[in-house]
Parts: sequence; structure tokens; C-alpha cells
Amino acid sequence: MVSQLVERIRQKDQRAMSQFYQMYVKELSSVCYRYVPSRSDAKDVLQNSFVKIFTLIPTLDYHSEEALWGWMKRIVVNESLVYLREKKRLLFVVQTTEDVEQTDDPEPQTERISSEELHQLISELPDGYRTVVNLYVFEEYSHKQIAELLGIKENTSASQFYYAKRLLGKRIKDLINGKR
Amino acid sequence: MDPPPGLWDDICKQMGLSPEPVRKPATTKRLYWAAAAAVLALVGFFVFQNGNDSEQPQQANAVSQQSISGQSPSQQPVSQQLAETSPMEQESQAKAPLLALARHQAPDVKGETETKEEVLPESDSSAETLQTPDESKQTFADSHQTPDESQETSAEPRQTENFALRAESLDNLPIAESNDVQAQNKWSLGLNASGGLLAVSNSVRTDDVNGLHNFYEGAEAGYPANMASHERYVPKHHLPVRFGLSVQFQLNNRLALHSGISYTYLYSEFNNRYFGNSYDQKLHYLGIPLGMTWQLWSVRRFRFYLSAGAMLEKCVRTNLEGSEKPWQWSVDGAAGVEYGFTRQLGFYLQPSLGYYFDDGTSLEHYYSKHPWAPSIEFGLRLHLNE
Repeated sequence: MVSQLVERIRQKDQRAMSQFYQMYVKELSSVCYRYVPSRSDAKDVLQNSFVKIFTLIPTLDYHSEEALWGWMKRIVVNESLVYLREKKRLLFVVQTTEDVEQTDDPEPQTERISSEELHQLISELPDGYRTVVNLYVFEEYSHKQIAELLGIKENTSASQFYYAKRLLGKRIKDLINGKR
Repeated sequence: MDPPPGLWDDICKQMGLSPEPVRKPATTKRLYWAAAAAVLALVGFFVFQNGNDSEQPQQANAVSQQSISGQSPSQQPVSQQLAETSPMEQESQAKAPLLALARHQAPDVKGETETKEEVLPESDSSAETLQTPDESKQTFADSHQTPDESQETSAEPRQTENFALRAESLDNLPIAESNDVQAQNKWSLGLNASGGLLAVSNSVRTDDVNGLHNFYEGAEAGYPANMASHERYVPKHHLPVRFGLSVQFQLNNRLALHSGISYTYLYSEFNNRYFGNSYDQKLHYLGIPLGMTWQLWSVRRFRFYLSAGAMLEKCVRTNLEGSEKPWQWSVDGAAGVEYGFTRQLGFYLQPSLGYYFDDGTSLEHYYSKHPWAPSIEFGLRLHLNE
């Protein structure tokens, strides 16, 4: 199935490539949008990612679809980070201008909103917050790994995540209240 | 989420490929569905046609026809029709599983309730809760109880609080007449409580592997995913608590048949690994056990016995909106000891091991995590034949 597709891609079968693209483009786009919310910017990142994927597949040792998916995702994440770094969008500051009160309920009530709403809220976070949240929650890196990846201190990663949670919590609350 | 428009063209340009119009996989999918629907319709038509012939009960594959009464006369002789339709039947069994299953289950369920009605001519259908031995002595005189030996759960010290609270509600329940039980002098009634024994320890590591897949399938595809798998909730399942009424019918000196009614409460907490919030899941089940007890020996006031049985439970209430309410099958084996205060009244303790079958839903609870569930049950039995 997928392994056959991969084999055909190795042989430069164009139909196979377009079929492969159709299979995974939606999910990989979702990954990219989390890091690069702008659709036009994301297009560049995805283009680079797919070109890389198709170029590197011949060198890949295919084990399972899950492993392949993980590999493709990492490519998209890396390309996204490269892009953000180049555009100087990775500023890891605490957004003190945000009106985040000291609430007694600091944890975001993520179960009360839909998956798409959560995605939307995450994409609206400031770049530094958003990147750390994505890497920690979705890609499941540790703060130590995130620090290495982004060239920041482990402490910075942890505090970015903490402030991101607070901001997210407030945004979710507003959304829930707005619904009523 | 939808990819940015024109992405494929740009990829082709960069790689020097010729951009072909890509046939949408949705079209091929639709074709498959249409084909499947057509096959199902065709097969269903044949099944229905043959189902109208009521002379095919012997065939194992013709189970689906048993509940259909034959109306239209068949032109062909029955045997020929049997031969012709058996491959079709098998096909229909394979390809219309829901259809066959629905028809198959109807007679089964009916049959089961009938058996139970034989065994429990005067069963009290209200699920009551256990009180401590002192309190229950009073209510014993007033109300029906049934010994339930197929229910395995353990009583924990903290449950005595619950008993005190629920003793009040017991007063409000209709009290059955104890003089209903006459002609039969082989009956015993019982009241019991039980709790799970195996504590649940959650390893976050193992959750990672499974949660990862669910997480991506839900979140990345952009579909409205189940928040639990999406958000990486770590479950904490509390030990199940069960209360029941039971009835027992002595077949001979050693063997007895038992059944009853039970109420089980499953409580779980789900903690979000990343965001720290949590939510509760409360499941309420009502069940009917059925089993056999074999008395091993008795010494002075003590009786030792073994018990085995099965139980069917249904989740009747849940606190989560829109959640599934599954059926739950289980089997169990137990060893017990009963101490007779008087010739009629006994107190028993019964540790047991149960196996809880997969309920076929995505619901997570104690039994889905621990299909092999040990428990301990205790209760009171009133022997009407002594």
C-alpha cells in the first residue's frame, strides 16, 4: 500500500508522487499552519517540505506508515522553524502587554471548546508562545529539546509555555463566555 | 485543513514535473461506497427473499431468518433453495453483519429475560444499597433481599460512609412483602456490596504510544476530534463499587442457581497532561447476574462454597453528554464463606476474579483498562428453607 507508493516514488513515478501528495497534504498543512498561520507563508514552507520529502524518500529505509508520517512531520516542523527564524519571528518575550489577570483558575479549559477552535486560538498566540506550545504539546518535545532546537534556555521554554497557557486560558474563557 | 491553493503546481515547477490534473481520491472513494451499497442492496434483497421461507431453521447460517415469519410462497423446493442460498447466506452474513446481528440478537435477548423470570418469580427489581450489618438486620425483616454470588467487588473502609447516607434512601423504596415467598422452600435472598481490589496505576509513558496516533489523526486532520485523545488526557480509574439484590434457588444438596440485580458505579478522572485541567466521568450500570454455586463443606456455623457465573450489565446513566452507554458482559469465579448467625440468616464474604469483555466502544473505564478484575463481595443471606 503505502510501501508500494514509496517504491514507485523511488522510481520517479509521477502519478505516485501526486497520489502521495493527495494522501498527506491536508494533515501536513495542518501541522504547518500551527507554526506559520499565514496561508501564503505556509505555502512556501510546504513547498520546500514536499520537495525535500520527495528528494529524500529514495534514501529512506521504509519501516511503517507511522514512522514515515513522523519523519514527514519533522521535516515540516523543521522547515517551519527555519522559516520563522529567517523572518525573525521567534521572539521569546513575555507578553506583559496582554491583559492577563491573576485568576484563581489558571488552567485552560481545553475540553470545553472544539478542536478547530483550539487550533484557531493557538494560531493567534504570539510567535514565541505559539512555537513552544506546538513543540511541547503537539510534537511532544521536552523543554530541554525545545531549548536546543530553538537556541534558547530551557527555562525560557518552560516560562514561555506557562505564559502561553495563561493566555490561552483567558482566550478560551472569553470564547466560552461569548458563546453564552 | 485545506492546503494552500496552487501548492501542487509550485511543487511540480520546482521539481521539474509536469503538473497532471490529480484525480481526487474522494471520487474513487465515492465509487467504492456506491459499489458497496449496491452489493449490500443486492445481497439484502436475496436474504430477504429467502428469509420468507420459514423452513430453514436448521441451517446455522440462516440464523438471520429465524425472526422473520414466512409469508410469500416459494416456487422452488425447500432443499434446492437451501443449497442455492447457503453461499448467499454466508455472503450476507459477511457483508451485512449489522442486519444479521440485529435479527440474531432479538431472539437471544428475549430468551434470556424469560429464563430470568423463571428463576425470580418474586424478585424485587429495585436496586438497593447495602447497609452495615446492624442496620440491615432491621430492614431484612421488612424487605426482600436476594443473595448475589456472581458479583465480585470489594468493600473498602470508606464505603461505610456511603452506606450510612444511602440507608436513608432505602427507607423511601417500596418494601416488598416477605410473605410472598411461600410455596418454595428452597429459596434464599441476599443483599450485598462489593468493590474492586486492583488499584489502577497510570503510566504516562504507555499512554504516549497510543495517544500519539489518536492525537494526530484527530488534531492534524482538522476534524472535530474527541477532545480526550486530542488533548492527551491521562485517566485515573477509581475502583468500581457495586450493590445488589440476589436470589438463590437450591437445586440439590450442593448445587444452587443464583441470579439477581446489581447496580455498579464506575468513576474516572481524566487529567490533561499539558494544561493541567481535568474532568470526571461517572458511569452507572444496572446488571443481571446468573450463575451456579457449589457448596463444598460446612463446619459448625460456617459454609464454604464455590461460585461461577456471568453477568450482563447496561450503562443506564452517564454524566458526560453524548457519551455512549454500552452493554457490558462479564464472567467470574469466586470462593466464599458464610457464617450463619441463625439458621436462616447468614453473613458472607466472597473474594472473586472476574473477566470483563471489551464493550466495543471507545469509552475508557476501569473495566476497559483492567478486564481481569479481582474484587471482594460481602453481604447477608436469608435462607427461607431452614
